[in-house]
Amino acid sequence: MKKLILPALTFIMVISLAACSGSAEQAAKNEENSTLEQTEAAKRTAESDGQNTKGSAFAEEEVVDENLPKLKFAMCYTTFTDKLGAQFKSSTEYLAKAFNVDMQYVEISTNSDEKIAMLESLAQSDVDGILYVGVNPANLEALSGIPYVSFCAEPTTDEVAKECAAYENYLGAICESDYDLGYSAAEALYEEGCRNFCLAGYTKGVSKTHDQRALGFRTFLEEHPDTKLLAEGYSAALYADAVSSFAASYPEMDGLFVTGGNEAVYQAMATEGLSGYVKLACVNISESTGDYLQKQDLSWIAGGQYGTAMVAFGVLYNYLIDGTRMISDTSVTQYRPFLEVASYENYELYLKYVDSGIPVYTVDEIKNMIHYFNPDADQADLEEINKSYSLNNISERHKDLLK
Amino acid sequence: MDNTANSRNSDQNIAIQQELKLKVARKEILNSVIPYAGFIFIIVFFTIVTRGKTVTVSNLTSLINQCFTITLIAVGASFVYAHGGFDFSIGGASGLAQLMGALLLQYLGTPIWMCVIFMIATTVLCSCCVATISLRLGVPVFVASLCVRSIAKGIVETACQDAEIILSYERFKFINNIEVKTIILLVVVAVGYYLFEYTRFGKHQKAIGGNINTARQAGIKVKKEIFLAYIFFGFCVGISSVFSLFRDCTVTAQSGSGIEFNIMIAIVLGGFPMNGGDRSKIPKAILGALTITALTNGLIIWGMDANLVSGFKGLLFLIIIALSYDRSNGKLVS
Repeated sequence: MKKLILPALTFIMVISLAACSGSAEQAAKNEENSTLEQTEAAKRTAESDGQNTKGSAFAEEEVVDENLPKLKFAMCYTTFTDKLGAQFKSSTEYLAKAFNVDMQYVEISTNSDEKIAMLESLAQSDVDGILYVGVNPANLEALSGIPYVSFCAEPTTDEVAKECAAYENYLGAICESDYDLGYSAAEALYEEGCRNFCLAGYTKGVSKTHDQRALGFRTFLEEHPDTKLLAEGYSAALYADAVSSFAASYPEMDGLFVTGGNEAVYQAMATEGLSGYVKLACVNISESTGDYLQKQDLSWIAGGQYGTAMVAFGVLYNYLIDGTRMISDTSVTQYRPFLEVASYENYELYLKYVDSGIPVYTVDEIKNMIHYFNPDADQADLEEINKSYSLNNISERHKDLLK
Repeated sequence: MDNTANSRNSDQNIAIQQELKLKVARKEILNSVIPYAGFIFIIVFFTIVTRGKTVTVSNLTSLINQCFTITLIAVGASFVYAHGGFDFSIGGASGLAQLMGALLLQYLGTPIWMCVIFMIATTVLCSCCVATISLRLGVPVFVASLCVRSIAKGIVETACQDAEIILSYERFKFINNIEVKTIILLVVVAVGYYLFEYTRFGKHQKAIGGNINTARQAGIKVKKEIFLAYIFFGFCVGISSVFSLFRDCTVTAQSGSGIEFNIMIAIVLGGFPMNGGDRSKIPKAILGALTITALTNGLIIWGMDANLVSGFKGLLFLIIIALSYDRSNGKLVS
C-alpha cells in the first residue's frame, strides 16, 4: 500500500510544483481571464437588469501603462478566503494591473514570532512595498526600510504611533473608525425601538478593531439610561454560540450587536426563534445579508472596508512612484467611515455600486489622488476621499458607469 | 529424512532472519536519511526557484532569527519526547511568561535580568505543574498539559482583555542582537546535545521511552527523570519566551499561541520517534525545526499565492512523514 501511495503523492507534488513554478505568468493570465469573465458576468447582469454598463472599470484596467515602472507590493491579511479578504484581494489586483504592479498576498499568523519572521522573509524577496493590517515598530524594523502602509488597523496606542512615525519607511495608517461603528450600531437599534441589548464580541484583547466596536456600542448604551445591556459574550469568533446562549437566558432581549458577523449568526437567529423578536446589527456584508434584511431580522450592517485597502494602495504607490508622502504626520491615523446598510434598498445600492463589477474606486479616481498623475494631489484630497466615503457618494460618482 | 527437513527449515529460518534484518536496516537508513534529504531538497529547490535569494547572507542571517525560538524549544522537547512524553502547555506557558516579564518591566520597573529569571521560572513552573499532575495524580499528560495551557491562556487573556501590554521597542532593541542570539542558540544546542548523548539524564530518558518497565527494573527513578526532563523543557521554553517578548515588545491574548503545534510538526518532520526510545536524537528535532523554518521562508520569498501555501506545506509534510515515520511504534499522544 505504502509503495502505491508514495509514488502517487510524489506525482501530485511534482505536478503541483510544476503548476506553481509557472505561477506568475499563468496566475496573471488566469486572473485576467477570471476578471474578464467577472466583467462579462457583471455586464450581463447589468444588461439583464435593464442597465447599461458604460465604460466598464475592468475595461480600463486592461490598458497597462508600460511606461510606468514595474513594482511589486505584498498585501498581508489574516485570510483571503472569506468575503472581505477576497474583496481586498480582487480590488488591489484590479488596481495593480492598471499601475503595472505585481501583487503578492500573504496570510498572517496569530503567533507574533511568525508574523515578524514573515516580514523578515518578505524583506528578502523583491517586494517594493507592504500593505499590512496593523503596525508596530517591530514590523517596521523587520522590513529593513521597505515602505509600509497599515490598512484597516491602526497603532494600538499613541506611544506606539509615535515610535512608528520615527521610521522613515512608515507611510501611515488608514482605517475605519471602529468606535463610531459600534456607536452607530447601537443608535440604529435604538431607533428601531430596541432597549434590552446583548453584545457578542471577539475575545477581548486580541483585536483592537473588535474591542473598539464593543466600546462604541457600550458607550451609546451608557449615554441612554433607558437602555439595558443584559449580557456580553466574548469568544474567538463563536458568535453563533453567544447568540444561542443569549436566546436561552434573556427572553427579554430585543436588540443584539455582533462585532463581527457571518452566516452562522443569521442561522442561529433563525434556529433560536429570534426572527421577528430581536433586531440584529452586525459587521461584514455576506451573501445572504439581503435575505435577512428583507425578512427584517437584520436591522443594520456595516461593510465596504475594501475601499480602505484601495486608498492604502494609492498612498503606497504615491511614495514609490515619486516619493510623495500623502500623510505628513504618520503618527495620526487617517479614519474613514464604514458603509452602513440599514434597509433592503440600501443593500440593493450596495450590490450595485460596491459588490458589482466596478469597485468603489475606479483606476481614474485612484490616479487622481496620486501626485505623479495629478500634481495637485495632496493630503487634503486623501482626507476628502476618506471623509466622503458613503453609499450615496459612490452612487453619485459611479452613476454614469452603471446607468 | 527428518534431519534433512529440519536442516532445510533451519536454513530457511536463517534466510528469513537475514532478510528481515536487511529490511530493518534498510528501513533504519531510510528513516534517518529522508528527513535530511527533505531538508536538502527544500534548500536546493528554493535556491533554484528564487534564483539564490534564499541563500544570500542577509537571508541566512534572518533565518537564524526565524529558527531561533523553535530550535531552542526543539532541544528541550527532545528530552520530553525521548521518554514518550508530551507537553501541550508550552504555548500558554510562553504567553504567561511574556505577560509576567512585560508587567514587571512596565509597571514595577524591575531590572531586566530579574525579569528574565522570572520569565524562565514561570515556564519551568508550568512544566512542573504538567509533570506533577501527570505523575502524582496519574492524569494522562495530554489532559494535564491541556489543563495547564487553558489556565495560562486564561490568565493572559484576562490580563490583556482591555489592552495589549506594549513595551518600548527602542528601549529593548539591543536584545534582538543576532550575535547574542547565535551564541545563546549554540550554547543551548551544545549543552542539550551533551546532556542528551553523554549523561545519564539523557540516556535515562531514552531508556524510559524504549521500555518503561525495563527502565524501572534497571533501577532508573522514572518519575524523577521525567520530572527533570520537563524542567529542562520549561527552561528552554523560558529562554525562547524572553526573546519572543523582545522581538515585538507586545503581549496580546494571542502571545505564545501555536508554538505547541509548530514543535510537534518539527519533531515529526525531523524523523524524531514520537514514542521516544533509543532512536531519539537531538539533531533530528533541530533538523525538523530548520526544515519548517526554511520551508516557510522559501515559500514567502518565492512568492507563492497565500491560498496555495497551506496545501503545499501539507503535501510536503505528508510525503516526508509517509517516507520516514515509524507507524509501528508511532502514537501522537501518550
